[in-house]
Amino acid sequence: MKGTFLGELEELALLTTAILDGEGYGISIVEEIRLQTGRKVNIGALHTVLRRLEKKGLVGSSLGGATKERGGRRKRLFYVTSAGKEMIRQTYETRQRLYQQIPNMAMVIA
Amino acid sequence: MKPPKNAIRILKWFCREDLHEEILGDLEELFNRNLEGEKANRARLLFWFDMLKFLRLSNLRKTSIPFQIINISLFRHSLMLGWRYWKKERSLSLVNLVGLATGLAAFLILYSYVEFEKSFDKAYSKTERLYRISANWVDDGVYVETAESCVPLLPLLSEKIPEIEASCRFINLPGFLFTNPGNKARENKVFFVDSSLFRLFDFELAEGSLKNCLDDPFQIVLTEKIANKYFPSGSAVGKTIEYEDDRSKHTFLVTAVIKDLPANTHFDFEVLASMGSMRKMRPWFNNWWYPPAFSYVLLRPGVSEFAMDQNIMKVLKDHAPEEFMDNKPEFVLQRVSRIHLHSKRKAEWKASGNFAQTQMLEFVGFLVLVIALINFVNLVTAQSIKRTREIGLRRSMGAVRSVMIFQFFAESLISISLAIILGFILVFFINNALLLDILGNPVDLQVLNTAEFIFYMIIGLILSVLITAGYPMFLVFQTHPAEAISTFKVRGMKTGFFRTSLVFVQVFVSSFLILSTLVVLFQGQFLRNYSMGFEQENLVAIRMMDNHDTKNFKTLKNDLENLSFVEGVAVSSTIPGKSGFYGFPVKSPDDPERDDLTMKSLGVDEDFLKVYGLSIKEGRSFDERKGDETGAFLLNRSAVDYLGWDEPVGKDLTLTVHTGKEENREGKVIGIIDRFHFASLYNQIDPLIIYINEHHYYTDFLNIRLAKGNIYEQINALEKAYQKFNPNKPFELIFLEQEMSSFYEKEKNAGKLMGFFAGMAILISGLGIFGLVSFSVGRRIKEIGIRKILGASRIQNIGLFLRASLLILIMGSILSWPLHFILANDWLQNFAYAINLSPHIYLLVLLGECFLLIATIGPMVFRASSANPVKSLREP
Repeated sequence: MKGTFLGELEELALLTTAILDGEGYGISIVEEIRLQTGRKVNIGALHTVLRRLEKKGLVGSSLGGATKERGGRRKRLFYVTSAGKEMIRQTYETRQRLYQQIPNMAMVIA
Repeated sequence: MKPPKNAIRILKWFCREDLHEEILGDLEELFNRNLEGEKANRARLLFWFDMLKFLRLSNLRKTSIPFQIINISLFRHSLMLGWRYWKKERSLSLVNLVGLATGLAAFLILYSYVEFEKSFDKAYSKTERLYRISANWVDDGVYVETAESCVPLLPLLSEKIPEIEASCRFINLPGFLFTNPGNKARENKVFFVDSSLFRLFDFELAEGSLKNCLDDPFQIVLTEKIANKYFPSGSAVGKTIEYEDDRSKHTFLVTAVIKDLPANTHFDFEVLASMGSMRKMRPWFNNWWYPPAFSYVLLRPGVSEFAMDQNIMKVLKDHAPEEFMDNKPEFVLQRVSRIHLHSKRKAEWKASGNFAQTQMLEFVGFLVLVIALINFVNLVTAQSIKRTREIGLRRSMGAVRSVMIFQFFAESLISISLAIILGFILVFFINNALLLDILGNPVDLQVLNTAEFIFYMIIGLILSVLITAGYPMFLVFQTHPAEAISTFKVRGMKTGFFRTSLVFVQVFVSSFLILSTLVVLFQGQFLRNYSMGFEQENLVAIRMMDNHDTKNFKTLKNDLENLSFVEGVAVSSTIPGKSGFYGFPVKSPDDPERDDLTMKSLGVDEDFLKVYGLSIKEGRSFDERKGDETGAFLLNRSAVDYLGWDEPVGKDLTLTVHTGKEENREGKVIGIIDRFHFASLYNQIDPLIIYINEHHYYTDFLNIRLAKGNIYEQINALEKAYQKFNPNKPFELIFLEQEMSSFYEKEKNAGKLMGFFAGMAILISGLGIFGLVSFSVGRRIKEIGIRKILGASRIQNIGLFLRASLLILIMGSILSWPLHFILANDWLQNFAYAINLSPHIYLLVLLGECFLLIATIGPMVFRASSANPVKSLREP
């Protein structure tokens, strides 16, 4: 059953990773989340979440370029796997379906 | 600008290695961004915070987690089973825990007490080479073994015996100290010492310097207590203090202040003055007779103390004055570290410890611990029999032996650790709350904090875990699972004999302890209630402080007699409980050749017998009208026996009194006094002669018989009267009753301590018996049901349980009697006046024990035997 459900932060991280399209790593994801939602995510927590997503097979990663401001250390760049894309789609559809069944909300969202 | 290194180090230490690169990269990138907008310090601070965010379990190094090595679920499972069992048998488990904790607490306290007693004078750097030279000699006509010796002894020995590396004398000279007239007070613990003192003993310095601090005349070293008393503000070193005694007055320079003496030393001084001052104040002091001095020597390494005794005697024979050697004094070397427990000489610095008593208490503590351990083992093994089913079931479900063993170890470790924790809590509670009341001061618990003790404690813990876990483990290996589950046969039933014999030991020990306590208590009570022959209540004595007092006491006596609450006043040379019953030579006309007769003496005036309430057995008392001032004596019974007279009254006697010169008093024995115990009941009454004394040498105390009334007002009035009589000296009042009961403090304390711990032993044994019986009642509940159905009466059922327990109790008790009888008689030999061990005590104790047993288990047995058999048989 593992990997079937997404936690709230997991979902946020997965979507942001998808937005950043292969350029996402710890800091850039935190930054993007802050820009998009105004939410300050704990960097340590995000690392853990990303690793969990990777374990679930929803994202993949590779070690990318080292820069001077990182003290010569490489960053771990995350991309969304096809399972991840499928997950995003499923989540979206589930949400859609659920939203539309809310009697008063239907008009607003559609 | 680099990020803080320590933060990186911590992170690297904490996190898995494969995460280092990305995490550190992110952290440093953040750091560099922060550097742009913030100050460097703030950026560094932020780096620390960010770093902390990565210290989460998911990043933790795998190898550094202890929990993952131990199988957590196994552990939890075992704990759960243990806990369930605990809950199921709540009362039994509680009994078990409390029993062990109580026993442990009792043991720990006694152990601390005994270790403290043993620690006396062990801490000097040269302890092994320090000795005191004490004398056995004839003093005032009486042979005594005293702690003191004489002043010229050490200089002579040091000169002639090269094995002595250093030596030091202590001469006691009480006097008044003051820095201004307002703080003048009598100090008894003033000692004049040689400058070599600190080469022998290391007393801790508080202020000033120990170097040359006692080299010159009129230098003085104070303890902190005295320094604070006379110099409440600021330092004492470098200041002067006045010393005054009945003959002279001198100014001393304070050269150093030392820390107050620790409690575990046999020394008891507060002020040390240089020997040089003694030379100036009492130029004649360096003689073989008076004053006495405590003499300590430091032997060179490797010197045997045995050879020294001979050596000393040889030197003395050759060099000491002949008149001194005529009395055949002997000198013995005593190890300083053994003085407290092993030396009971006259004039010791302070009351000695009692080696036998310490050993007795150590033994009691050990016994209590044994009882508690027996309890614990008994109950645990009894319970584990009940658990054979559980064990069998678990094993048939696939639990391997190691799992079972682990469980037993875990359970026993946890319960014993709990008992230990509870025990320590009890120790502090008992020590601070109860012993404070009993002993007046709590026991020093320092020893519980030493590495050695903790080491033994851990060993003990391991051993007891092994024992208590061992038995159920034995069951695991012994019992076949199928056998264990089967309804018909339960292994371990036969170990009842093992448990019974352990209970037997418990009963034996407890009964012994109860009996011993009673004997100590009864003896103490006997001593305190024993009539001393005079009325101690409402009898006080004022000490005459100086020449003025002793010469003019009659003025004060008159003043006091005019006070409304004073029923009588009498002067005496000394009072019961104090030394000073000097041995004076007497000559009997029957036997004019004998010149070695001496008797203890008491100089009084005509009112003395009336004030003390002493009665005359034969003859008459002193009478002013008959000219008894010089020519009349009273004797006590022992004195008459000593002289071997049949009809003492009216006989002639000559008494030699020393009043600076020898003064022969020829007179007649006018009467024999009834019992008059002027010393402790440890000894028989010594021969005593009472004479009328008018010489100021022997008018040291004014005894006052008070009417019943407000004692505080009376004391105030007495003090006022004395201050008017002699405004220069402080007022010292002695209560005779207190003085007499102080003889038996030790017996009182020992009795109370023993009573306390015997009480604990009884409690523990009671708990143990309660636990075992409740266990067997639980197991035999069905048997009782069947018996009832077959027609057994309730009484028969109750008898079933009581009979067995009572039998063990009675047998255990009776077997402890002979041992107790022998040991108690041995102890009572210490006293000249002692109680008799009557069979009543034994029978009463046995009855009490039986009663206690019935009270403990009776209700439970009664309930079991009245249970409805239908119910008890239906239960699974």
